Amino acid sequence: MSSLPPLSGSDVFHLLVDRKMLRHGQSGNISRIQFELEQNADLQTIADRLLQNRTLRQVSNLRVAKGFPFAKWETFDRKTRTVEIHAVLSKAEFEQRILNRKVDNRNGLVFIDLYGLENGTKHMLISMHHVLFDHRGMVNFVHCLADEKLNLPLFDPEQPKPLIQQWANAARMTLTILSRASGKLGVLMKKKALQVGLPRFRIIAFTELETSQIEENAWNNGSRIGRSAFYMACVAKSVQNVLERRGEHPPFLWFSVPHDMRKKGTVGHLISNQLSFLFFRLTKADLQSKTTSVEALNIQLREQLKNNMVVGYSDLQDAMRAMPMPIYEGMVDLASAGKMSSFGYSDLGENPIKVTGMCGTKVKSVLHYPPIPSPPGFNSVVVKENGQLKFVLGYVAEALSETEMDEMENEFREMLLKP
Amino acid sequence: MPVSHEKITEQLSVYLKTRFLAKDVVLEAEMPFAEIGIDSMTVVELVMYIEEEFGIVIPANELTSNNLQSMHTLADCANRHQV
Repeated sequence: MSSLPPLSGSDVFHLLVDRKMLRHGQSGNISRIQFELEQNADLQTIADRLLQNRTLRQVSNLRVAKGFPFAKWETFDRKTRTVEIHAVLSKAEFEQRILNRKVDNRNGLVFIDLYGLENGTKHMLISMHHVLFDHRGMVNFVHCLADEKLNLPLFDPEQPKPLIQQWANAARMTLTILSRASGKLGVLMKKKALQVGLPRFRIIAFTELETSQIEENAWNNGSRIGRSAFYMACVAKSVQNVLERRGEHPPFLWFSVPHDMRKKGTVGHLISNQLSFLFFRLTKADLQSKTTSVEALNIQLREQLKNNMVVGYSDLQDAMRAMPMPIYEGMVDLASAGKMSSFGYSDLGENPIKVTGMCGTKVKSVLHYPPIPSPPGFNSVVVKENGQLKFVLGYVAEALSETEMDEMENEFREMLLKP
Repeated sequence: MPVSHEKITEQLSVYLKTRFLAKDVVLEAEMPFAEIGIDSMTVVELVMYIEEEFGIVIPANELTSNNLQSMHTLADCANRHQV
């Protein structure tokens, strides 16, 4: 194969997050998408068809290689398997073996598990390292698995922007971040947690009727274009409430939200992240009510868009690619005293995965399990499907106990639903 | 001087194409934003562009999904709120 492109700035940022997660004993910065299959699905037939899939073969033979000035993509001859069929798994086995499946640069960055659960359901779960894909890349990959004839480009054919412009933006953003960041942000993860346990998830699903009520509440609380400011406010207030019950009173919460930088209007490519971030800081005064939180988020969003900060941050990430990883990590830690952020949040919008079948088998539902970077040890994802909202809350025990999570889940539901 | 609906649509189209859309995307004024992958964050940027470029502030309670469906509905809404 001809020479492959370098990693993007956000690819390298995902490697940095991965490095932190591995250090905490986690399986890495891995996103997982689970498909519930029809009950009479033949897992062996699905596995056979997957192994014939050209896109899967291409992607599973990719890895990150050292390069100058930037790390780059390269192909390798993968010796390990890509697909595994399991007998019926217990809940504990599912959590230990599937939700904690490690994919890495040495053995391959993608893996597919096919399994049944004790309740009689059958599933396929794709574990994908985040260095490979942003969300649109994941969606494209899934579509290529579902439709063997679909042939999408691996890499973005568009040319990167001039380096001088990138470095000027990067310098501007460094100054902005260092002038705003502070290690005083509130975070759920306990300070002494050097190693964290298995990832845990709560799925909070709403009916169509409840979703309409939530969207009306979002509007009434000041969320205008999209509903995300309201959802973020509810997540932030829930986090704040947990911290207050612990007797912690951080002056503010600070979090970043991924921003899709891919060009619109096209299906696009598969490999490499094109992401920037928006940054939000909510003080105790902002968090007084849902309305005040939404108002603060709206102001900060407009300010960042007006100052072109998403482009600036994307350029900063690109510039940081040339930095040795320990120095890059040191700089990121400097801004937040190693806490990274108060929590993770992503809004996937209307579920873009339009898959009704997979390798000849009907797909009943799709669920996205996000990685849980630790710190902060808590990540939230919202998606809307068939008029129904679904939140996936991912956490580790070192950030939230089961009792705290129970309280938080109830409170969060109520916050969303109550006018 | 008031700006015409056509002028707003035309400039929105140029802004969208140069800033957000992939090369060779065919854009029509009535195409739903969702259909061409324009997310809510991009719509916020379009509303802010209208404010800066034409000095037209769309009141918050007018930022409904009906008004933000396409370039056509957005330009129409902006046109109604010219001072």
